[in-house]
Amino acid sequence: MVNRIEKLGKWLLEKRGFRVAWFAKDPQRQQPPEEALANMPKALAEKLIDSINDLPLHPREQKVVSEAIESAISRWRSHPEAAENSIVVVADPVSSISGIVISSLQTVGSAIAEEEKDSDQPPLKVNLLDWVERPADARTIQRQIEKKLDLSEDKKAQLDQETQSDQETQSAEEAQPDSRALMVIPDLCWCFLRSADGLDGLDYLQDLLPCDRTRFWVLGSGMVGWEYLKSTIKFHAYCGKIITTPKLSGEDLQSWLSPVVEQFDVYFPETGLHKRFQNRNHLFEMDVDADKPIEAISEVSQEITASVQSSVRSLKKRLEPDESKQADNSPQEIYFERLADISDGIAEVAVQMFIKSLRYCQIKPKLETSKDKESESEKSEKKVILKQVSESGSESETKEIEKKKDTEKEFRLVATTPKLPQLPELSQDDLYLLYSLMLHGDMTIIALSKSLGDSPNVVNNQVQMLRNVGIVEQQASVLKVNPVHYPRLCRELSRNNFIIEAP
Amino acid sequence: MYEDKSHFLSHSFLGHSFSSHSFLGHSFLNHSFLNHSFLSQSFLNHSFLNLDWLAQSSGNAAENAGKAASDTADQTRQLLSKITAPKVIQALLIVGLAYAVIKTVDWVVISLSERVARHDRLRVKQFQPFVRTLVMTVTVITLMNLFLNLSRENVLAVTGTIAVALGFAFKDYASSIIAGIVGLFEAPYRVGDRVAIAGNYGEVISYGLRAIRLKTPSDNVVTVPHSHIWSNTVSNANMGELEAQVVTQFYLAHEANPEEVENILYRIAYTSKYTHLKLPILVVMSEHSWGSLFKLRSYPLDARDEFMYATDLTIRAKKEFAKRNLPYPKRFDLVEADDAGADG
Repeated sequence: MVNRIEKLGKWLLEKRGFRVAWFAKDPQRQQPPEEALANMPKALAEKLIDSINDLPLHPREQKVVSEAIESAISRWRSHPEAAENSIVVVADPVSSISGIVISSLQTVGSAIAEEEKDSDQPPLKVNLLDWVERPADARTIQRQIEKKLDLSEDKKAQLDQETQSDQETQSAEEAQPDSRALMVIPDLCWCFLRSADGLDGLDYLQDLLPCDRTRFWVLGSGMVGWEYLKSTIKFHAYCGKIITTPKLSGEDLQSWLSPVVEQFDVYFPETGLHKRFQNRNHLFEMDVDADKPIEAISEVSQEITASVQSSVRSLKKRLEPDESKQADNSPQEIYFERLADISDGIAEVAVQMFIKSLRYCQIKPKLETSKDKESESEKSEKKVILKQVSESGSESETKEIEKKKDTEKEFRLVATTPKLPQLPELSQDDLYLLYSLMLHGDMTIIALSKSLGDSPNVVNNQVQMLRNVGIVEQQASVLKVNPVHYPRLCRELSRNNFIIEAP
Repeated sequence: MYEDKSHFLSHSFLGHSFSSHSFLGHSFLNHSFLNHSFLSQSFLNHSFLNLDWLAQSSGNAAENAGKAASDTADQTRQLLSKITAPKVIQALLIVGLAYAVIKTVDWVVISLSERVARHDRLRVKQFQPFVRTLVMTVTVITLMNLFLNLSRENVLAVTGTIAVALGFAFKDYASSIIAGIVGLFEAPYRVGDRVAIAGNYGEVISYGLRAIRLKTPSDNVVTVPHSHIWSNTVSNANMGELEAQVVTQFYLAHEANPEEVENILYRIAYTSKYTHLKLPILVVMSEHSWGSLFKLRSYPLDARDEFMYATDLTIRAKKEFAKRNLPYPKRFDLVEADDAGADG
């Protein structure tokens, strides 16, 4: 079981980038986080992207999901007829639910293998729906699910079972342990398309789930897709436990991103008003464009909010004699608290906001107050990476860097106040399209046009407009909502009657 | 001399006759005094022949009435003499300012209502008629004060004059304005509502002092006076709410499997991008001699999309019907075409 899941996990990771790789390789348009990367030296940006992509799934997310799956499977194995035979893992549509499910199952697989050894139980057969995208033709979804999950014969048996209920129920109760199987559908959103015949696959699963007690189902789903299925075909009525991935706190994000912070020696300046007035450069670090007044107002208001919050915390720190609480008021802590706050605790959004907030700039040595305690040797160790990055760059870049050799030591990655970008002006048709994208997670133009009931040409025109304003990302033919806009977009859709839960 | 006498006598007669109706009497007096000498002449003759006793017996009363009439005429002359060029310019500026304020308020309310959450769109739009009415009222009072010097007596005189003028010439206009003010509170329609009124259906895009403006599905703007609400029905689809139910009808032959049709229609509604999934979706069916009538009752996310929504549902349903070979009624069977909508 473990091998099979690991194999699929590797394959998924190869096929789909889950974080920065998604947008960093977008050949046509620069999305908001890409702009931040574009202002860094190329080699440094690439190194940063690699480091972010190497980040594992957040341990807390993985722990919550794997514990829930493990306990549900244990209950089912003990009492297959009484216990629920399915679990649904729901995550935000910008998170890679398939990655979360697969990664958690790897942990669960090891635990189950241990359990099987101890109890001499036969190994649990694993059937994985190893898709990385929705089948091109939505009408074939049901057939493909049957084929991939080895279910074609079972449907007939199930129909027979319905006609001979008592006798068959007895036989199911006495089913041999070696006939039991674990069925994994990493992303339920790939199993349907919002069209007249696009829900047939789910109808099929809906019939199968409650009847077949010899199988345990692990289903992953995007939040928006799940809400849609709940309100339309009442899919939740047929499922067992439903768990939602946890919202991450500032502390969670800090510990998760600490390898990147340490590797690149990211500097977190004080954002309190009193500190800003001490340094004029930091006072005017806002990216304000007079041609975009709404964006400028949003930028300034977020900056002011962050500064005021920071000042209040700083004031508390002075008044609070308790040393244990003082540690919670470092600029880095404040930064990650704010990051968790604006990203609604979603790792995918937070990591992109983190990149967006990074600046490669020169800072005055006197500002390095947080590093005062560090020894000179520690400082030089951390700067080795930046030097290595410079060395691995192109010749022209190296020459350029050499010219600035004297000042190079003062250039660092500085984490400015993380800010949510303002949503662009969106028409009603744009909202329909964006909701459709969030409903299905990611999709092609053809699938999107079927979901909207419009012609592909019309949808393509609209998509290109939305890409221009940075709210939609496109990699090859696959479209996705830009995670940095997710929190605000989610609220916007929720306020406009769409079935979506605002974070 | 003759002219003066005739005037005096006519005034005495009229003053006596209308002594108990001060408003109308005065205004009518002014009118006769200034313009209707022929009338005075007839009164003069009449007086000489038949009413000598009247002049003698009520000499004092006539003298008083004549004095009052003369005073009123003087006041009118004074009022008219106060209409100077600077005042006219001032009035034009006030009217221009009021126009600018109304247009600004319209723009602010409309653009704000389109930007806020859809739930609040209609609420924001309700400010428009109130603000318009307020601005117009203030403007009219300011203008009257400018020209008529609104003392107590002037108000009474002017009100009386206006009442008569409205009674004869602007009856319908006044009726519409009053209906508009009543409508603000009774709210048979509000800005943003989708109403059927006076044989027209559309969205109320403007609530004026005299009339509303409807934008019809064919993009025509229809002006309907408020007075229509006095004695006619107004059918309001959403009554201040954002949601308006859309009923889409499907006609099928008796051979069509109703369960299959029902499932298709539910599925079609659930998968339309326009459908408001938080509100109920219902399929109802009725039997007719020509076949079966299915009605899909559902709500679009935005009432403005109702026609697009109905079109989307119809197109996709027809595709499914065609795919499953569901038969439509034959034309020669259509004998109850007109009563199709009578059964809910």
